[in-house]
Amino acid sequence: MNRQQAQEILLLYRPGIADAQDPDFADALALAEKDADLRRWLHDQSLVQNALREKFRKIPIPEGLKEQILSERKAHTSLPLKRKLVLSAVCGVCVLLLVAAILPRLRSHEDKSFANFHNRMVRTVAREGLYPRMELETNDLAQIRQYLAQHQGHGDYVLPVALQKATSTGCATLEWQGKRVSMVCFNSGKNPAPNQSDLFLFIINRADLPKAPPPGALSFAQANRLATASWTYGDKTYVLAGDEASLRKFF
Amino acid sequence: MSHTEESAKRPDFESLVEQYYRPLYQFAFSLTQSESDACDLTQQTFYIWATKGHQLRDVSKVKSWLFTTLHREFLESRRRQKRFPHYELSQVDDELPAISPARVSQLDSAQLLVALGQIDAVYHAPVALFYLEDYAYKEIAEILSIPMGTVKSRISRGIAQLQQAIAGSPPAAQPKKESHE
Repeated sequence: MNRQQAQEILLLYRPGIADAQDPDFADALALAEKDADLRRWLHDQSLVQNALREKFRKIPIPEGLKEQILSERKAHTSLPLKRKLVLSAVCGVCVLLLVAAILPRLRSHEDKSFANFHNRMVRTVAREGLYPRMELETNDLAQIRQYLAQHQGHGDYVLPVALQKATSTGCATLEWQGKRVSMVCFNSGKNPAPNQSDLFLFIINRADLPKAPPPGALSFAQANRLATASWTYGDKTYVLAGDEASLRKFF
Repeated sequence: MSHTEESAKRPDFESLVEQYYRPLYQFAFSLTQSESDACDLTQQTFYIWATKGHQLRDVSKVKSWLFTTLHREFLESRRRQKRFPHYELSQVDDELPAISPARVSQLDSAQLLVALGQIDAVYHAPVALFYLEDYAYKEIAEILSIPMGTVKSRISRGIAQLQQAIAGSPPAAQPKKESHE
């Protein structure tokens, strides 16, 4: 290795960095130890390199760059979030539109007939074994009216004269195809226990029952070992369910 | 290493920016010689980290990853502008000018920028990494995706051109002494 070759190699030499371990530099450094001119050149060159290194490392940083990077990050990360929100909103609107389009069709297929209402109410009594759950238990009809009125029920129902003599036992409110139904329970007198219910009157707005019995008509039916009497009076339709003997007692 | 352990050691974005935005900007500035382009490159690098950094398994290589990414982005931006020739030089064939450390110390940033602008573009990145970071040549080679021998030859050539540019540039204006006549 001659001096020029050593200079070419040592041009890349950085004192204090792991370069000294690099075998490429070892021979050149060894030569510099023996060659005074080369050693001097290396010393001067190292000073120049260090000065240049310092200059590079002092390249001024624009003010606010860090803040700009961080704010860019927020903008970029929030963009997908915004997109997600927009997508979610669009999906939500689509679902709502779909539901809005389908629901009327589904509802149009719901059986809103009086027969359906009648059967459903009878099943309610039959399923509960003649003891449907009551929300209010009382023998006081005034309290029953008040309770129903306060719970979106039918507090202004009108009872047939004969039924007015029956002992009320309580009431509850139900839903049928999204419509409110009131249930008023009575003891027909057949059962000696005064709070034992055996007659159940279901009340629904006539407007909620397109094919309700016409006003003035009283119809009897038998279903699930229960007898029913149905009629329409004013703006309401009524179904009274119980055993046939008790029912006959009031009509 | 479990995912939890790995993510526990993964630096959060803000501390990563705090730690590396200065050297990355300086590297970008050395490549572009333009403050706005360097800012863009630095920002783009951190943006790429934010979106793809999770793919880096070995978090100890974050710094190299950032420099590599910045350099790739720089090359990509240049590629979009124009193709610049890549050529290899096996040895330094320019004579090193005699410049003193004092002459270098007199340089201001603008003069360093002018000098950098005078060296061939292909040498910018290796020379900048040579001066800015204490990377081993092997690491510089990995960052620039070129063989180590090429790294060394480019640095040699770049240093020679840089020193020639500095030697040929006028010294920075010295502050005039006030006359009290």
